[in-house]
Amino acid sequence: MGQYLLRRALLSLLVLWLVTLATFTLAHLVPGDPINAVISDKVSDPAIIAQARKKYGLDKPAPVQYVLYVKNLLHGDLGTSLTTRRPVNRDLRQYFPATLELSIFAMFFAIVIGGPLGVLAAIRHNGPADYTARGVALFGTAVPIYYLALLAQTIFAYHLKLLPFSGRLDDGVDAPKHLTGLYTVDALVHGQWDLFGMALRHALMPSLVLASFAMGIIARMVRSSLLDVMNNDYVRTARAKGLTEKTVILSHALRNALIPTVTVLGLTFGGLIAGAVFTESTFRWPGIGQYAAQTAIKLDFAGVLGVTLIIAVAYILFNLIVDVLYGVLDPRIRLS
Amino acid sequence: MKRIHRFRRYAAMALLSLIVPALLAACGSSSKVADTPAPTKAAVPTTAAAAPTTAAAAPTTAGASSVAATSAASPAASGGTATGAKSGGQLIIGRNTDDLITLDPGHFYEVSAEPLMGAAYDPLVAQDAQDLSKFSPMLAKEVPSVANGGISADGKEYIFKLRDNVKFHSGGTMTADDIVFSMKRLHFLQDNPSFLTDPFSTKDAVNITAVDKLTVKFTLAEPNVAFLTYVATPNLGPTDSKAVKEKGGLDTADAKDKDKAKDFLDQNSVGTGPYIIKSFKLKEEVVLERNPNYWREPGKLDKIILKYIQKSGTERQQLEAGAIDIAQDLDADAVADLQKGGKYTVVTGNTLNLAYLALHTAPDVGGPLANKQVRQAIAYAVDYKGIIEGLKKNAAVRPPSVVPLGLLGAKEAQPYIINTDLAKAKDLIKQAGAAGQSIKLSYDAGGTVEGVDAETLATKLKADIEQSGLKVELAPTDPTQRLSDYRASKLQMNISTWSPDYADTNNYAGTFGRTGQAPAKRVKYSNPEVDKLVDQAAKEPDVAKRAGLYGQAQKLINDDSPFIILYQPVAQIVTKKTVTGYNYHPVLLVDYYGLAKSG
Repeated sequence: MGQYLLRRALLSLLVLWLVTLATFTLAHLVPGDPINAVISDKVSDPAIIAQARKKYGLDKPAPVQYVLYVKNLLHGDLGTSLTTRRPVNRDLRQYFPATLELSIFAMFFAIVIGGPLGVLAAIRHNGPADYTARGVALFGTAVPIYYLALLAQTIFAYHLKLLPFSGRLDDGVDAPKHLTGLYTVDALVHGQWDLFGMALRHALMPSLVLASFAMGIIARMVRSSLLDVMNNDYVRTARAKGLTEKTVILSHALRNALIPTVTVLGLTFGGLIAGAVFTESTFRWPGIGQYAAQTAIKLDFAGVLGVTLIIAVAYILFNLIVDVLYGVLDPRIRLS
Repeated sequence: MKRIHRFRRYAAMALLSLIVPALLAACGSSSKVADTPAPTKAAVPTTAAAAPTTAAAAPTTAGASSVAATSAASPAASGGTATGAKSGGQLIIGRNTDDLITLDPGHFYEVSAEPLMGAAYDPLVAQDAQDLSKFSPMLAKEVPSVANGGISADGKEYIFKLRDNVKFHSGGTMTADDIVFSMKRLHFLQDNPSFLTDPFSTKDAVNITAVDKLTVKFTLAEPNVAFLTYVATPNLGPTDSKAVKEKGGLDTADAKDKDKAKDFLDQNSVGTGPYIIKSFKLKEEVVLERNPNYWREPGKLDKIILKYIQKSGTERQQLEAGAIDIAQDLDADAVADLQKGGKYTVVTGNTLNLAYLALHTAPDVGGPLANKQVRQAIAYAVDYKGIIEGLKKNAAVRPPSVVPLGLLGAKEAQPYIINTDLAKAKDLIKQAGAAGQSIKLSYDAGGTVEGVDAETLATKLKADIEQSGLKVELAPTDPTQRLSDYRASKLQMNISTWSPDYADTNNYAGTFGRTGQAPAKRVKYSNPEVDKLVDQAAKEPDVAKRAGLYGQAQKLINDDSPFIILYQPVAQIVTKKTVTGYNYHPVLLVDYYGLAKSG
């Protein structure tokens, strides 16, 4: 196991390096001039522009810029964002917890809604419940997130006034004392119940919207894998032994059906982050999705690379957890 | 039977997971739309009550000038106080604040920051929003003039006598040293707004001195009648030197690299203005609270929140649902809709922004455009009326030349305006022998030009110009690339915009017309006659004479047609009926001090 983890870690480093190289190359192939992010459009004096280029290291040829970037990266320095003019490390520390909180809620909803929905569809195969569940799952995967976000906002905030329009907290309210940056967790730790409730209410709509795609995928995967295993010998044997239907489905069938679902779960995580860009801008959720969009428009390499790296790390970690889970679900699978 | 029963349980489980979130939502509905003040902040409003003593102590002259300052004072403002807008409350303003990155007066140069900084950092003198040629005293006891000895006879020295006992947000008392420190820091930070110190500084020296504790003297390199408009910008508002220094602020030549106060100033204000910056959350909101120790009568609101809303559609929904009180960037259709219902107030005002076509005048880049007749032909071919009515839905006006309406010299250029005349355009192209020649029109791909989709505008311009006999090739370009190319003087013809750095004609005639200045340089435009006129105007203290000089300069600029001004947008702001005192300000957007909310 230890050896396996070490190998995975080394492989991850290689992946991360390739990610920086690919992002950097792509960013430099796109036409445009990042210096305009820091210089007012009125400025014409070449000396001022040259000075700004020098300050942000944009005066050097691209390969040199890349080598410097990697060198700083190895020292834990992600550079300075041209968009916010602050160190990228600081920007990410501020924005990432917001996205993490949103993603955790979204994953939670995707699993607790998508899972049972899939089970229901499988056991009521071709019945009305199956059609309904499949309809819901199809809706979740087919409707684009940005549209769903606007739709939800219009219904729940504008017409029904059940949920707040946007933001992580009500307007003008200070965040709970910083500990993790996850407002719900920080509020709980400090016993600020009103803030906890407020943060939860604010997170509900964006996370449900963000969950929709993953929820649909999970429901469909659970349904089809469960249907597959239901016809297996061991399920028939379990039933023949006189086990209750609940035990048959939950302990025997579902556990085996979960392996492909878990695989998909790892992959959906990427979609979750991509969806965050739309969700965050509609719901004014100050996370790395918004930050990514903003820095990309300005061709702010440091900012874009910072986001790409943190997403890559999260993706790698998440898939590592998924791989470890295989072993838990099916002891026959050994990680070696 | 048993099986069915279990299946029900699964169904119930799935249903439950759907219902729980819905219930959660319902439970939370008590404080639903974020209009209600947050429970944790309930303590805030009362602080306002603690204000009075110092406020009452404010000099009576201050009261008078406060009326002058807000007297921008259209019916709305006076109506507001007359109907008894009660003191207090929280006001939420919705705006796309994508540009907002800093609230440090030495660094900020973003439009969205102007009203915030205007509310936090009082200037020495204020420029009247309704009549930009008028100034009223703020932190200075009087507006310097030659008559009162505040301006020297040669127009190079400006002396400001400061009000006594004005408190900074940080607690200190304002002295001349604070002003000197603030100007030097602004200069040596060498960021976007640093050029505002140009009139009284060289690269290594800032020519400002504290004559005594309450007198400060600026020495200009040459006479500049626009100088007071520089002084009126929030960037030049005094900061508490002691507080800034404590946080690592510097006013020395190495400030550019070593100043550390920005982080602090992004979250706190150390000015003397009516509202104090309490917090700034990037892409979320900025919160301001009333300054209880303000030197005039304190502001009418307990709290002002500038809320980031990215899209016009969402902004409208939030206004209608009551989540915001003011919507600053609704599109023309939404404004028209809301106006019809009669439930909202629509405030309008001429901006000082310009949308224009820039035509390169040198043969190597401009090609046929190097010929004045071809440039004139384009000016005659553009359908200005169609653009303003069709694309801007009438939310724009057309200035006669490069000086926007509302500034000195615009009226004087009126006789020289070029109106659409297709016959003349065709004739000019024929004379120039340019028929069939192609011109490349660059514009921001996916961008907007003062509220008009760039693609739509470019297409309209192509259709208009091609009627003259020229051919136009559309060249959508990445916005950052277009700006760099334009700056490097590489674009044959492009659509660009201009907004004021300071509200004086010199920021237009002296930049579009003057050889080597920002837009002129970008199209290689140079006319020694124009240079002479605008240089002379910049030093001319006599207002009527100065206006005449600008009129003459614009006559020549229009004749040369290196720039074709397409329109000057009119700002449209929608507020709830409960909001009073909202007056459009061409530089600050709105003066928060006059705002109040009833009910």
